[in-house]
Amino acid sequence: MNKTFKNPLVYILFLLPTILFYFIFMGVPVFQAFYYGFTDWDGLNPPVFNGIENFKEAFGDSDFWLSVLNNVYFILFSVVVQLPIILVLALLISNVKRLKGFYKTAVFVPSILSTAVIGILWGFIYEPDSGLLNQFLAIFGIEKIYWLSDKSTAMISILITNAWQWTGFYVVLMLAAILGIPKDLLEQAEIDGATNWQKSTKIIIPLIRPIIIVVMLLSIAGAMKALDIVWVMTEGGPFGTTDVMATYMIKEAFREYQYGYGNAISVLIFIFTLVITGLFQWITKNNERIEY
Amino acid sequence: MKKILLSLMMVLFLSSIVLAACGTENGTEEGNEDGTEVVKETDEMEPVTITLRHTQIGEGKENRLNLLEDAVADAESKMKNATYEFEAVDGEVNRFDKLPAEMAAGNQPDIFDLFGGADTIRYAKAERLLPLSEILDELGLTDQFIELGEFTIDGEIYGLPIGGFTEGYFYSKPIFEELGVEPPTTWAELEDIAVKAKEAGYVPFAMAAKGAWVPMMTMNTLVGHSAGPDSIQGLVEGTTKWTDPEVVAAFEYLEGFVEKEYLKQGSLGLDYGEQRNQLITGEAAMMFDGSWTSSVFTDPEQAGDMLGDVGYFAMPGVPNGVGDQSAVNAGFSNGYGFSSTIADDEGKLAAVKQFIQSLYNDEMQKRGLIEDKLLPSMKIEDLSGVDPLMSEIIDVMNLAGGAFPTIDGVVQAEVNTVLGEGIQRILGNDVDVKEMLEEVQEVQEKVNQEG
Repeated sequence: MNKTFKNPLVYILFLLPTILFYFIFMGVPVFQAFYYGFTDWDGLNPPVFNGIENFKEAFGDSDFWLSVLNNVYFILFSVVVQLPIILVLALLISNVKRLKGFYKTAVFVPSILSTAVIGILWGFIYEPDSGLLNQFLAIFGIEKIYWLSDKSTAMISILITNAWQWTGFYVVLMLAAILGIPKDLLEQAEIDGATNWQKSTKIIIPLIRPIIIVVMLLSIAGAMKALDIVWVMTEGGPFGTTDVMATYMIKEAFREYQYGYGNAISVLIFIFTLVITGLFQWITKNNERIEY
Repeated sequence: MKKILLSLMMVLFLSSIVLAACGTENGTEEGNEDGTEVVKETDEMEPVTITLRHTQIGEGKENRLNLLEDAVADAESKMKNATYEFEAVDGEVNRFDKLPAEMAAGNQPDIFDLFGGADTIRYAKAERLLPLSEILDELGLTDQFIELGEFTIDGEIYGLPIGGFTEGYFYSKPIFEELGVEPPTTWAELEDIAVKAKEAGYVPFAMAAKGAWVPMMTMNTLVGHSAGPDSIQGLVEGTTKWTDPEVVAAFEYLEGFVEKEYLKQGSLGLDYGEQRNQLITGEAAMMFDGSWTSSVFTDPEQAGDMLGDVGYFAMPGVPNGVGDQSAVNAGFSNGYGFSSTIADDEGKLAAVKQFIQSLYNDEMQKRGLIEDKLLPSMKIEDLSGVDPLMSEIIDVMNLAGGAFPTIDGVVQAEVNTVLGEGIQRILGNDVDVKEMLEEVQEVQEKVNQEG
């Protein structure tokens, strides 16, 4: 038996089904996307190889670049706005003495709701005539705002909704890291007269830096593949101003029957995501492993 | 296109003329003239499951779903080996997302909701649709349809319209009464009503433009009036340009609606259903929509206090419009298509034939007209029992001097997208009409060249 387990072929044998599944359901579609990305294909008739035409078209397509910009907004909002909020919430919940479970659950609930439900729910909040938000703003005499149909507010409305959906998930991750910090470390700091602010900024945040980086990485990857929330709330409207790369890809492929071009866009999403996450990991690679 | 409407009108309103040939009776294993049985199920047939994709979702389509369910129940009672599996999908999702994806993969449902025109051409050319001419001959239904032009490609029929439609203005009778106005017959009168409605605190024209096809209905008729009934077909044939002064003028009318604040603000964020709600709740005075919407206004549950208080009139001609200004947008563009994969499956083919027999017959067409307010797509003689609103629509059609097709059924998908977005940008006050139409024309020329 021991001899058997020393044979690497056995391990390969055990891994084979999983690798096979992964290859069939992940590898093949990726290869197909690359293949079709270099073709002129309407989705019905045989594809015709057209070299890098689709990619040239994408780089010269202002609508595509608008969708890229919207993905960038998603990333910036996640990292610059959402992340500090996540951190503050995690620190606050870690400090509460009572009802910690309740707070954890309450903050996590939006993450378990489907995006369709969240889209509709926030659609009610943003509703111009009787929506909660405009009703609230009316108290202060603020005029009606057409959140989802005005191009100047539609994108930010989606970003806020998206942040609301995922904040809880990241808070729980962050909370796990905070609660994993040995109590005696923090007690010693208290004995030395450290305030809560000092404990947070000088001890907790530096110690949970690896998890902060993971959260940032997940946020960036999630932002690059944003799709459902945009589709449910605005379908990329008004007039394409909230399209992200994935919704633009869908429209080009399924609505205009430019399947070759759509696949080329999906390849670009793949490459952009790879580059951005790779770059981020390279920048943050010097984060030494923290051991207590 | 004119003949479509004229033939429809003849059928609908000249009931003294017997048009129907002797077709088969509802769902029976009737014989043709030569005595052969039409749909025959044998004991040797393997059980088959037919996937049926329909778009009858929501309150507004309850009646049509009932009809479909009854037709399928009838088909199942006659085909013991066949089971029809329903799949309900939102109309827009089916047309623009799900069905194209399935067609691309070649795994389309056996029976599905299908639009004539550009959609049918595309799928038929890719051999995804079951040719129906022979089947219709076999069932004795070939001459029973009023117009199959939108589903006919190179002489072969690929789809069957479930009904006909026309588009015009539905209006709130109480509001018109309050304003002291009658349904308009000229553009100036329409504008006058809009002004009065706005002054009285009403939204003159209900609009829900999250889906570009909704405001495109208004635009469609404006183009048909301003540039003439033949202009729409001319767009793909190159005889009409999006930049022609008459076409530009049509779009400027819509721009005028926006500038004069005749539409509800924030309409770009509203789903189609919200449009009729604006009329039902008394918020709006008028609404441009398809005749299919009349089923909502005659249903006590959906119409509420507005039951019996909604009227209908055709969009008046525009000043300096080309051609017959009484022409309306009308056609037979929505119905069912069938997967080409059925051709090799004897059991499924028999089940599909039975489905056609059970759904496309005099009784179902009559029920469609009475219960669902859907204009018949087949030649039926008995038109009694039509409700007042439907009568108004029929009267309007009676006065029409011709018909023009829907833009999105004629132009290519790429043009439809850029046009739809352009119309939405007009509503969002975000574009110069001429510049937008130049962009549309550019795309039109590009796709026309590509063939």
